[in-house]
Amino acid sequence: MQPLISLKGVVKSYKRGRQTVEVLHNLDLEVQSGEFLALMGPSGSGKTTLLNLIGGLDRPTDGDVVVGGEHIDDLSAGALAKWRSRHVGFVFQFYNLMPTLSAERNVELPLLLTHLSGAERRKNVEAALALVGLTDRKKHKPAELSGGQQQRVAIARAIVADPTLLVCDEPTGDLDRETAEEILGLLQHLNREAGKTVIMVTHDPKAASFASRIVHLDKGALAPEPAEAVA
Amino acid sequence: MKYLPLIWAGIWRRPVRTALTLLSIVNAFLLYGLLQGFASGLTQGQAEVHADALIIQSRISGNEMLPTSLVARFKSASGVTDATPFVTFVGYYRRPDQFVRAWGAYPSETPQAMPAMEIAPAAIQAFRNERDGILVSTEVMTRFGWKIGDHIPLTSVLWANKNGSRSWDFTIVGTYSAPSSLGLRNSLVFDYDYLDQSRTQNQGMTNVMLVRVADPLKAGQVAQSLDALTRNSPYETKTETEGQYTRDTVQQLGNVGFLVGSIVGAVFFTLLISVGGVMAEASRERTKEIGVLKAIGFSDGGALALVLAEAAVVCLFAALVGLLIAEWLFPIARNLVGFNAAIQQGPVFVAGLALATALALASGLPPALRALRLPVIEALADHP
Repeated sequence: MQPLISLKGVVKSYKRGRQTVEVLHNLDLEVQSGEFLALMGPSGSGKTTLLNLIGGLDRPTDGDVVVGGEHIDDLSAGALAKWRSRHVGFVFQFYNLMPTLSAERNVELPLLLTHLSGAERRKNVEAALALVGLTDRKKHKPAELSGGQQQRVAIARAIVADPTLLVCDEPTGDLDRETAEEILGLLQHLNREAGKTVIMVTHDPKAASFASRIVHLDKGALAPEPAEAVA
Repeated sequence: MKYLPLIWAGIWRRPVRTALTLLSIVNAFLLYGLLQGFASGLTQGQAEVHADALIIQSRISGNEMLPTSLVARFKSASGVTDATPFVTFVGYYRRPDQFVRAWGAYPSETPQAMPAMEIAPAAIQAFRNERDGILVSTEVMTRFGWKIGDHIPLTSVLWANKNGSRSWDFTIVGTYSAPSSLGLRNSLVFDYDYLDQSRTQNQGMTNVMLVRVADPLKAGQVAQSLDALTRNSPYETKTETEGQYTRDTVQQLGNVGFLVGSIVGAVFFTLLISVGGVMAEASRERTKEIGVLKAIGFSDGGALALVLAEAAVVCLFAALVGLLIAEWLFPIARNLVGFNAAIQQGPVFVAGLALATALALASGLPPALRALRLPVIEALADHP
């Protein structure tokens, strides 16, 4: 079966002054459609860099990144932006909501890039907010919501355009344990019930336990999977 | 339109800062609207001149007096169809800030001498019958809330009355409307003899004479021949076409265009610096938000358009408010300074909005280009 995500020989390096620092070394990874993959590893191991490559936010220095059959490393900046709007939903550690927009306006943002009418956008926003349980808070601005509620709004924004892939960078890193479990449960629900492929970077083994597969990164390379990998 | 809530929310991210920015732009365009209104009014005055009219004044200056006996000589000159004296009466109504400009003319000749004035026949008749009668332009009637039949005192800064005061009593006998040329709009016209017989000096003298010529194409030639009549006399004259006279009057105020341009230029340069700074700061504060928008699929061009649109909405909205306030205030300001011309609203508005667009581009383009070039990873890593 064709994997949804396929990385082959991926190298990513950055220039720091005169030095070139290689963050990812000749990395190969495949993720099947419908997987919930947790990327774990110590700080500086290249987790977020790898996530950015998969999400089309950055390009590899070398190697191929194929997502949904598309060589996204070959796309122009404009085409890559359009591809992200259609296929990827992002969830960030610090929610990254627009502080001046209400919850529903934040959720609507990805739909502004579509040809949907105002009424259709509102309908989809309502559905996304209902899925994360925030219908009654739709008129509230981020500052009027708790951390957990803000992350739910961010998840609603990530799923409202019905992307194939959810890319989550430490989505529970700023939340207390109970709220974090609610958010992880929601991501798991989206994975299992809505069929979304989820890639999540986390430091937290408890968070990673919600995933169907855990991949460890160390110093820019994939580490062998531990024997007790979760189901 | 679907992006408007996003643009509007971006503008009001910091309400106090936005309000102050809007206020400064409104203020600048209010000043621009008023100054350009005056400047365009002067231009309009020059455009409304009559080709068959000549203005005669003393060669020394417009304030020097000429004997009205010259009128008969000019009237009989070749190519002249009519000539009549006009004497300036500069003063105020009740308070010095209620400035008025009036002209003393022969009632029997006023309609012929000034065909551009629209006066009802009954008003002309009353003007001829009442010695202290005065015709008032519709603008001045509105300004002071006068009505026909009112007795009004006008204090002259030029003419003392034989009764020892500078106050002159008039009875309003009619109204007129006129184009802005020759300063008749926003003015009053009274009987020359009423002033002449009661003033303490310069009886039988006037500072302006108005001549009509038969052939407008020969107006320059006739002007030269009229000046030749007084050459080497104690009262040498300077005869100009109405267009030259209007231009000279405007030039006496200095180079109005340059003056207005300099003031407006200085104001807008300062405004550009301040608005540009605010836009740049607002854009820097939102680096992460721009990163998020790009992450969810907004293109680089889309990010540029959003920042530019915010600048355009702020500048155009505030400019429109400023220009509308200027339009509302202009009649009040015009009356305060006794300005005769009407504002040219259309061109001032169009030029003002073009200026606002230029301001939006100049202040919005640097942050917009920054948003365009901002790498999404760098923007998302920003810590404000």
